[in-house]
Amino acid sequence: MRTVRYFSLALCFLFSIACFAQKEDWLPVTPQDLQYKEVPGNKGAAAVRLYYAQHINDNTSSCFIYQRIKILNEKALNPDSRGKTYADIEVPIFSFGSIVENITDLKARTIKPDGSIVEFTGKPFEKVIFKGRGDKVSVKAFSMPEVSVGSIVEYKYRAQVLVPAYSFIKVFARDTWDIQSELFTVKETLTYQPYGGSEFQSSSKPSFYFDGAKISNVTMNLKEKPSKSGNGSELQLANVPAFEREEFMPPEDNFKPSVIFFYGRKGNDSVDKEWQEIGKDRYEELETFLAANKGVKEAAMQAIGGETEPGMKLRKIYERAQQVRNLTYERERTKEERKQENIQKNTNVGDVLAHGYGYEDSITFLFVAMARAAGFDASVVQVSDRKTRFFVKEWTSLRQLDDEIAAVNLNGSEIYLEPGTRFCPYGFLRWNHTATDGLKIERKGGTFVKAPPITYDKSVTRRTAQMSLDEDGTLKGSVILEFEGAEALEHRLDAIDSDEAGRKKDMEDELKQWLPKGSIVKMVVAQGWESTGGPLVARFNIEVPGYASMAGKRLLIPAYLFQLKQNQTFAHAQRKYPVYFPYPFTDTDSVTIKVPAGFTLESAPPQQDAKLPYARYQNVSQFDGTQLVTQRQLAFNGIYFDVDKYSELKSFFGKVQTGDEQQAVLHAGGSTSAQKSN
Amino acid sequence: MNSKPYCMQEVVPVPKKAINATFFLLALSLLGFCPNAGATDVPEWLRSLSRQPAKSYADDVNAVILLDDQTTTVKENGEIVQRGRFAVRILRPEGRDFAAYPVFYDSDSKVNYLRGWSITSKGQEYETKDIMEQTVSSYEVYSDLKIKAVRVPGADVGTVVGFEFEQKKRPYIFQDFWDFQTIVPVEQSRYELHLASGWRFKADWVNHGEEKPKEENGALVWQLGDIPRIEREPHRPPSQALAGRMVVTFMSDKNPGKSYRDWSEFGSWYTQLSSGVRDTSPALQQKVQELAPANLPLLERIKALARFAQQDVRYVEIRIGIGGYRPHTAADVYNHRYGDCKDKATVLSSMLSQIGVKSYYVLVRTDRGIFTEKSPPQASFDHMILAISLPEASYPKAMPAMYQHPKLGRLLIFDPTNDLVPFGQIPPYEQDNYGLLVGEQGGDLIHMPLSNPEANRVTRSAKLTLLPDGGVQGEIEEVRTGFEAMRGRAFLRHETESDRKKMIERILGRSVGSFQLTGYDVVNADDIEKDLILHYKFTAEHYAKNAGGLLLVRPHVVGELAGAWDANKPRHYAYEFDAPFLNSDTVEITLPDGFKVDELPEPAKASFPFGQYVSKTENSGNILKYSREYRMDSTLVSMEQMEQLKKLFGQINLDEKNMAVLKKAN
Repeated sequence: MRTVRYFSLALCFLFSIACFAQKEDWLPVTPQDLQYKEVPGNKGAAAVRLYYAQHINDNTSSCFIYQRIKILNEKALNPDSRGKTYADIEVPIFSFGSIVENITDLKARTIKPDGSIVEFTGKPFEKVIFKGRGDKVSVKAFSMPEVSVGSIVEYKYRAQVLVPAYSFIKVFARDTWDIQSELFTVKETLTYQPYGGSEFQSSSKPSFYFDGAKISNVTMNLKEKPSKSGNGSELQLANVPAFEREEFMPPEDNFKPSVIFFYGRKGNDSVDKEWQEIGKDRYEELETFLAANKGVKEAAMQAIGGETEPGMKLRKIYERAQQVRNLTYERERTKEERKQENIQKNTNVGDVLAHGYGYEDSITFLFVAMARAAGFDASVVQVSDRKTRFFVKEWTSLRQLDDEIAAVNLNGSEIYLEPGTRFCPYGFLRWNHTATDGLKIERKGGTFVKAPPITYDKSVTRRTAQMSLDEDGTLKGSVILEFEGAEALEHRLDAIDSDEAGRKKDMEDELKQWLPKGSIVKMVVAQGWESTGGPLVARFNIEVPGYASMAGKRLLIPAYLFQLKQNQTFAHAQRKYPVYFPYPFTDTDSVTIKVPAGFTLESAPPQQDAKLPYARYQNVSQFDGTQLVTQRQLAFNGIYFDVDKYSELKSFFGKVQTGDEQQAVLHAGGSTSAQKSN
Repeated sequence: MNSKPYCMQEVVPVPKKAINATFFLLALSLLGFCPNAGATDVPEWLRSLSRQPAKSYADDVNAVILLDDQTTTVKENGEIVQRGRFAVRILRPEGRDFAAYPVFYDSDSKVNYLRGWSITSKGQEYETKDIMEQTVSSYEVYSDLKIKAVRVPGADVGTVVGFEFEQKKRPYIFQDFWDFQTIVPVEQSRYELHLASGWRFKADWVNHGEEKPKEENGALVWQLGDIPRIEREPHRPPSQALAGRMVVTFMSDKNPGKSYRDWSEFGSWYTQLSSGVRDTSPALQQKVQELAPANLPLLERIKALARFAQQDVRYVEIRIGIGGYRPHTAADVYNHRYGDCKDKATVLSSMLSQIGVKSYYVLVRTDRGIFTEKSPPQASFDHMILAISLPEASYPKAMPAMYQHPKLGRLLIFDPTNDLVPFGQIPPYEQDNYGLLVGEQGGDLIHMPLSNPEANRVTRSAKLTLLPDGGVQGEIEEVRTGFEAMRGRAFLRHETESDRKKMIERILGRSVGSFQLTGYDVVNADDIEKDLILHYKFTAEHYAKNAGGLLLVRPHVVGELAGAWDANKPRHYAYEFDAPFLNSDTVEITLPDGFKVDELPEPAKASFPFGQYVSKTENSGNILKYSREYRMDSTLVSMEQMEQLKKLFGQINLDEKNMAVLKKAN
């Protein structure tokens, strides 16, 4: 979806609009266009984008779009789950407050398979997606005439962003070339014209000045680089493949080719220097917030109490900071609600402490202030969120370092803490802030640091089943499910807005997905929802009808009760993108099945052991004469795997699935005997 | 397949529509919008409701409707004014969605006012007058149906929210609905009717016994209390087939032509409304001659025209004003080559008439069960298809879509909107369903035919070779007919080669681990007149499990047939199947040299009036042979039969897990 990039730039001088020739006429229809039948390497593709143009011009605050799409088969004309087809066009229009987007020069036409052209002469229908309080999101919708398989539909328009009420405000329409779409693109023409307005400089908001501002761009996942065109940039591309999403892939934005344009600071000639300047600005802002710290030292001292060991002192401060009501995890309140509930704005850490509430960033700042007050060397670290995008250093924008954690020097070592995340234990970071880049904010700018990773032993799912098998094959008993570390934190955060019934249902649903179809699951109790640290534990009663099956006089029992979470992830032979797990993990399970009287063990499942440098799977079953006990552990200590590792991963998880499906064979009659798997 | 071929306008009873699931989904999209609240002016009726002691409900009840009060005033000139009061107590965090309240409107109606308030459990009061607007659906390319909505602050558990609105309408049909039952319990629901002189009414009750109104100050008032919610459960009939509703039809001699007492009159109304739209044009005539020359047999001519409407007129949903009911002209549809279900039916009907074949509109509701033989006349259809009159000598054999009409004779039901249904067949959602046939002399509610299980088959045959280490290699062929073919095509037909491969890998991956797909082929994906055939080859490691000197092999390889079932909750409603079907599997597994069958699983047999499942595993030489058949004769399994259905599914699950034991031959 397009986003409107709008800088509230107060221009004191008129700007001159640079003339920028853009090829906006209809392109000639070539015999190749008419003859195009199939996307190379993707037989059966519904449509192909024969041509795409995107011309961004910051002088006119506009973005011109041209799409030429050929219908290759009927799928392109059948409404998808959203009701969309390639012959029904919707041009989105966003208006937020005073910022208004206009669509002009909209033209469309159908080129029939024989090359004849039918112009779209109707009036687009404006559908309001949302309208209220001065904001409006709508689309101009229209249906192309006389479209059939083999037709080419093409349309073009210009989106211009304006602030009619304040003509001195400059807003830009777009800052990114959208290079890859869901369609294979034969040819693309992309241009960008930066703002050429003359002198403006603000002493208070240096990030908004343009006087000599350096226009930069960062190119991602693209071999080709934009070339200079006057003072602008342009890029011609051919045969851009379609983007196809895959399960367990890293953030999409990091794998779609794109070029992002951004304005740098005057005179800066290196990325490092630019980051230094950004860090300095941020430092000033943060120190202003941290400086007014009335009561902070007293609160820190009170929290520390009699503790003298530095680690314990810091832990007490951390716990105190986390006691502050965290508004980030509450529903958004209206102005009127804030007034009635007397929720005021925090302008400094003293306010946070005095009010007793704050958002996650201000709670982190309070912690840093308290730690400093107690004599620690503590800093704020701006970190990237690897849930949405991996950090790209060349893109010198704080937009990609928009979360905050704390760094504290403890006994000579730097430790990273996340007091602003509810339930996040001392010494721990939430997964999306681990193994990622951060800018430690300092007076002279900042230092890039790497937030430490989570290791597999810090994210544990432990399942303990004590079961009894009936003669009819029904398995009954109890399961204790424990989450520790990252797993516990994620479950607690997911459940923040749930009531007891909701949490019970979520936990039952989670256990059910690991159990055979038709299992009956009732959660008896769960403990630890509101704890920071410590395990989250739930106990269930379960019943699995038809768990064991009879074959003549033999009873066949799956030795391991649970099913692999990742078994469908690696079903496919091919992989296009790297495999990405949010965080490492360990599954530790113990399943005890008491067998019905009168059955003797004929065969226990063989022991399983599979290893990779970053993973291990072990599964051992033992029969003591009355019960079958299976111990199983899957430890996985990695998060990111290039495509060339896919077959190794597929093979490993295949072994896990095979091991999990092993059966114990019991025989009716005879004396019982003990046996261990070999 | 057009996944949502619902292109016929349903009458939107503004206030009541507001309490169905769609309503709240729409409201959800407004959640991020927090309006400014002004000085509160909470009405006393809401304060009074908030002070009522809270009743107790099941712990998964998100909210309870304390009051749903609708007042409908029919003016002498036919203008209808509706006022509503609606109050909800939020019981769970999930119930916060009820803090938003939308009122539907279009170009023929106007929302005079809409206001909302909330009273929190702490006694804080809020009011909002900020109105948001939103198009109801993004599905239609052209639609004038919108909502105005308000969202009130303070939406926490325990908060009572309340809304008032007034709306003015000039409806195309003088009908109103009191939908007093919904997905949450209702403590009090009230419907008040004011009729100007000269107006009379007819009330019909659906899924509820008739209640007589009381007269209060010249108005008629119906009131119901403590109405249970419609429970959510897999494969239940649609909620509107279960929920209580009163259908109110208004009649006046001064305003004829917009109300009807029976289906026949409704049909007449639609005949009038659609008068002239099927008139032909020179271009259309020429196309008919081109597609269906007179020298072809009549059935071939009909098929050719049906194919044109089905395949060459692109589906585009259009819903503006009366266009929600009335089709565009056949000439326009032909010129644009697009239209919605009404337009596709119209262009086909027009073309058929040119070759002397009569056809009739059939208005349907695509969710089976909402219309029954007892349904009062009401404008709740969402789709249009065609009934084509077939001269006796024009067809060689009976087709599943044939319907014998007592007056009109042999008719063929045809849905030109669903481009996956072959000529002569009927989509599952229209089978065993009711539709209004619009004849020349009026309307007629007809019960559309139900196909036999044999018409909807999945026949799967597998030939596999088991290796001594437990690995397996072989091939599987799956032949799909009838609606099973439609369903398969809906997934496969237009997927790219790589996506098809992924789909087959997913099918295999559900039952087989560590496999490699070594080949696949999809036959007749585009030819809807033929069976859909899926053929694939694979190898898999450790398919059979080693257990000491034994090899345990599961003779059933792929296909999980038991329906979705929530074993954790009691069942409340009948279980619905898409259509009757017949699934059969035969698997032949060649055993590795040196192994013989030691024990076989027991055969399965579960036979009930609505369906049956049988399977057996046999051994013949070095071949392990498994066969099974699952037959469903009905579309609906009643509550009385629910234990039997549970047993049937349990038997299927068990059978699919069974294993044969192989032993090394000495």
